Amino acid sequence: MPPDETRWMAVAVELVALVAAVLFALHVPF
Amino acid sequence: VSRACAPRTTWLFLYVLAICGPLVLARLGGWHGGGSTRADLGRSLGIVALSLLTMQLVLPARLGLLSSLGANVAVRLHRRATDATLSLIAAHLVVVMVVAPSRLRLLEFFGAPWRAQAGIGSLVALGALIHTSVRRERMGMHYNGWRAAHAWLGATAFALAVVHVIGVHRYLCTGAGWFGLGGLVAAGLGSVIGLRVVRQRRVSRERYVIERVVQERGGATTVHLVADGHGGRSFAPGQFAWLKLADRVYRWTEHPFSYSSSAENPLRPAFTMKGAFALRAAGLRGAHVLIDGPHGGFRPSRRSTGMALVAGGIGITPCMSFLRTAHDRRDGRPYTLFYVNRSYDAIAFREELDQLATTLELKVVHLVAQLDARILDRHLPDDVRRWQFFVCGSRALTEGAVQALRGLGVPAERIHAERFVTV
Repeated sequence: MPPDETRWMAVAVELVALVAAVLFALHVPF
Repeated sequence: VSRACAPRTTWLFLYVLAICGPLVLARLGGWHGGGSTRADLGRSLGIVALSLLTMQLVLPARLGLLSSLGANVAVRLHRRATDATLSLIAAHLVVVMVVAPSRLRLLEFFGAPWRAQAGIGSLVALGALIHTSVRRERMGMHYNGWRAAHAWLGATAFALAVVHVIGVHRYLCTGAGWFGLGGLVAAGLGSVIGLRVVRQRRVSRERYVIERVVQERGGATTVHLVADGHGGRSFAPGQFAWLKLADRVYRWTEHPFSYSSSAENPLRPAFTMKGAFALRAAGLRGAHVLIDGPHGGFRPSRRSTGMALVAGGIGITPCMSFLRTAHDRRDGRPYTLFYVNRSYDAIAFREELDQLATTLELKVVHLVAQLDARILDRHLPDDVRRWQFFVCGSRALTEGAVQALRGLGVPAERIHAERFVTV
């Protein structure tokens, strides 16, 4: 694995968390 | 899923599960959003921040399956996810305060309700944890002291965050939402207890004796061990293990070292090292030690037509394991070792490498200068895209070598880089 691959993985994790939080707040059914 | 993609896919799946699971359970718990969208955003940001904080405890827990996928990936991701965790906590605080500015007085610790005190306490612990991690060397903190402080501060921040959630008593404290909170607590506590108690107890059942301690050139020390009444644990070249003295099962004094011996003889593993443990090792002949390992996800591909090793100084350790194993397995594939040292006199294992070059199809390129793309290109064969690359050394060496190899057209998934840190 190239050394800096975790950089975009961390960004992806943050984006998923933000989107999930917003969807939840908008009362979108899961 | 190819082998190269497996770690990141697994990690991302775990993250999505950790992030979405508690939210879904909070929803199933009968909570349908009583407040405004803004108010609910503040709360949901708090829930995902707790999920990320939980994953920060899970990542370094040396879980068997995940560790074999890539222990170094887990630790790097643990470091990188700090920013994501902090920014979500900050977003949670900002949104909650903007929705009801009167809550600002909750930040005054004394006199605030205990749910707010727990939240503030969690933040303070996190602040101290990050400060000691970023400034460890400048503060002159000893590695093992720092590890103990790091784990305690992390566990405290997590526990106080859970108390904060219980104090707020909504969403994760209604119906199925309790399962979400329970799952997070089980994952967080389970990781800490699993690593510090269960794992240490299991490791303590298989003891090794320090058979020989050999001073190598360049200030390195090799500690040769022999399994005491058991068959040893098989490992692969390129993997590492945590070593500690057998009379300190639950203490923090353990050090990560790469195997330098042949994987064909797990009964007699050897580790080549520098640093505090190496200095003490000379006086420890005959002492019992424990090995927590092997860890590390690098596996040489059987399909690769050859292997290039790039080592800087003590980074030769895992490379010796590759070459000694190849020798024992009568591996006929070509190997090229680029070995960077400060001076000719500092080259550890010089004679053994000369010897290995007569039995293996091995080319050793000794360098006392900077490694660059021209040198790599000159010594590597034409079918370089089908070779496998293992890079181990200082940060400057690994970054430079990976960049040079990528420039030569080597696919990223064929390069495995490890930064060596003396602890």
